[in-house]
Amino acid sequence: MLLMVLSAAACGVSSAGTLAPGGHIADFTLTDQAGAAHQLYALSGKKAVVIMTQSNGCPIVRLAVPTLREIRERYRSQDIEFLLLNPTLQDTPDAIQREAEEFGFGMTVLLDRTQQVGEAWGVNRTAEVFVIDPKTWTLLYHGPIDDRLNYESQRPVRHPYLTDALDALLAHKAVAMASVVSPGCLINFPHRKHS
Amino acid sequence: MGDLRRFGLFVAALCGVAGSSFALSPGDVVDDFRLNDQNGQSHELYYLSDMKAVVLLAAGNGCAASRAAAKTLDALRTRYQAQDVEFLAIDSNLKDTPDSIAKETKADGTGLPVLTDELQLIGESLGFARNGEVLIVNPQNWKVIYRGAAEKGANHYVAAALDATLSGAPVKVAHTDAAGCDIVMPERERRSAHAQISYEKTIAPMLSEHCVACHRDGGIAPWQMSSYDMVRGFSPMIREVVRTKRMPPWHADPHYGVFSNDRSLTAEETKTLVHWIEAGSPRGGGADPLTAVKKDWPVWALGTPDLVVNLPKFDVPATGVIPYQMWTVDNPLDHDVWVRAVDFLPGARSNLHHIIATIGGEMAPGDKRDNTDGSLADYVPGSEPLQIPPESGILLKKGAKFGFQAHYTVNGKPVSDVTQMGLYFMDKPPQYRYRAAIMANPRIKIPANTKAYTNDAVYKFDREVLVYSLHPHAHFRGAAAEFVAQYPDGHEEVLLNVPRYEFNWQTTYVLKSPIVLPAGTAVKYSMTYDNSTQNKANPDPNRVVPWGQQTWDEMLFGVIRFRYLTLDANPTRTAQASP
Repeated sequence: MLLMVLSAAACGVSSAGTLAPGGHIADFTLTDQAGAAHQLYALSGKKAVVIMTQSNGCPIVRLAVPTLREIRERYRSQDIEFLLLNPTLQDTPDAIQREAEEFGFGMTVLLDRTQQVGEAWGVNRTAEVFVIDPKTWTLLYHGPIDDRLNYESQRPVRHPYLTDALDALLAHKAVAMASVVSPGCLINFPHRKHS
Repeated sequence: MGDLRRFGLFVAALCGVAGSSFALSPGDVVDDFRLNDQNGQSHELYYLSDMKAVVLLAAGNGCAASRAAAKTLDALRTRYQAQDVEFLAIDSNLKDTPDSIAKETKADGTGLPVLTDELQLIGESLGFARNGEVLIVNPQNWKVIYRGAAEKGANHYVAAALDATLSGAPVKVAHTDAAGCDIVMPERERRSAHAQISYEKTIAPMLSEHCVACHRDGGIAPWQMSSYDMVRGFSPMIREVVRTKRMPPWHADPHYGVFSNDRSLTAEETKTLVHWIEAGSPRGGGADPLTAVKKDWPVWALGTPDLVVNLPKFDVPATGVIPYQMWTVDNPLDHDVWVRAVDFLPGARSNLHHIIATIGGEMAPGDKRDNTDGSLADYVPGSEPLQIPPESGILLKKGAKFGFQAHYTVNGKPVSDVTQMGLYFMDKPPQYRYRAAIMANPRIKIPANTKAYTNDAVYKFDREVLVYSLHPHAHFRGAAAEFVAQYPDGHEEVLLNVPRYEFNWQTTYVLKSPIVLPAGTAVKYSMTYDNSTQNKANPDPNRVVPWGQQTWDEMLFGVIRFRYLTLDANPTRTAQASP
């Protein structure tokens, strides 16, 4: 009886996480594809931390990475950290290293092999970007880089969401579009339910 | 943390067996899906992201509660459609067919599209238990904002929920009990059995047969089904692409025609795969067949070709939209030959998306050339070589030129491609010419910011013909296609319905049994275009789009491959020109 109540409650949990713009980002330490450890809060001196979710073999990530690299170049003087986060169960450090080399990521990939960051942030898909304010450790933006990419298609950019968010942060203004639905590959978080 | 994780898995297992607790409640997210309605038109839930609300009704033929709810919603539809609210019914009842649903809605005079959920996968996941039940979804986040009855006495629940949502207020009554007719869903009670579906004996062989030709090392698919771990990691994505009919890439409505190159999963396979994923993609025991998949690619499946034609080298960039490449290549032969088969050997399988090969270039409307020129063969990933039926052939004249239209996709890194075409010749002229009928409209003008604009072209056959295949073609704005035969006695038959035309997959639909069309039969080919911002491939919805070879322009262009039924007295003689 207790179990039934328990299961009914847990089954009602929605697949989206609870982290929303304005929400608090807890500290974590993760290793990268080369085995080096990275602590999030060690980046407290940065103006912003931009983290994009990644999984090997996802076409939307592979096509988004060159854009992310361009944006990093454009904001090079602004002291913003750009990182990738792989919260998948299937990608091994070696496989991620190979993917990073083959597609010229040129960025650190944080391996979230226990999925604890992905779970806490409510990650749903790859190519989701999280913009974090390291002064307050709050989430400023969650969504795609822009509206260029979709499943098996791309079109000219109309809304550059990520750079809009960064420009707002640098100008000490509020981010106008703080949460945008993002296309990408669904990541398997085994205990979330399907709907 | 470890305890929490175990707890999570434990709860997941419980969710899997507690069938009725699968129902979606207000606040839960509705996953995307695509279904055809009773008229063979395609509807995708997430396409409706520009709506303020989406109202879904569980509907069933012969159910009074469903009928009453449909009438209520039909009236609300008139009231709310101008305020960007979409109303759809979903019929998940095993006894109902598109035809019987169309009859019933016609008799009832309701205008609600009724989506036919013949596999019950969508009804199961929405937790539909009774016909007459209503779900309202908020397209901002795809969460359920209301579940229950359409109305009860003086309580107009749906109207109240819509009024609240449209004014930005929370929905006060978000959950009511809906009376109605029970929907029989055998699989809903079998969730625990789904956890017993064998990865080794059922899932892996199914993936090997249908998916691995592309999802393998060096294939066009971006990731490889090379182990259980990979499949499990991509499981929710596999479920999504199957539910939205993006994969396998086969776009014909299964109610019309049987095609020999059908790439789809059967209904049973689809259900098994999705239920296995919903059970948590269990590994079970046994070997992992996907780790043993052969690594070699076929060279020339039909043996060494009689002539190998090299296509130009093309350097594919890392990203961006690449225009179609149009090439002309000389035929090196100094004599006429009859072609019996055509095959392609891609240089960069991971990037070559399709080739349309012609003799003398793609035929345009009003073209005075006869069918000596025209279509030759197509390449799409995973396709078999074109083998022309034994008694017919394609004439390749000396001095003719090959035309190629090549489409490459980007995958994040630069690649070079040199593709080869292999031709196989006949020993002697065939009895029949393998012909092409072109249906096109070069004067097409697609209005700006329009979700559905349909245009058509007709080809009338003067002689009795045997039809082998049908090929619809459009560009980024192509949305749906249909070939309908209009017989001399007046009746019509749908030869092919493509409810969701997908520009990326230039499929020729090859009939399993060629069909005879009597002399005087006209075939109407129609294409519906989506020139709205909701079409995620549309480069510019503000443009009135004319005919053009490139993908930012459009085409109304369809091809039927056929031969005359009676012997060609002289197959090399010029055929009747296209109308």
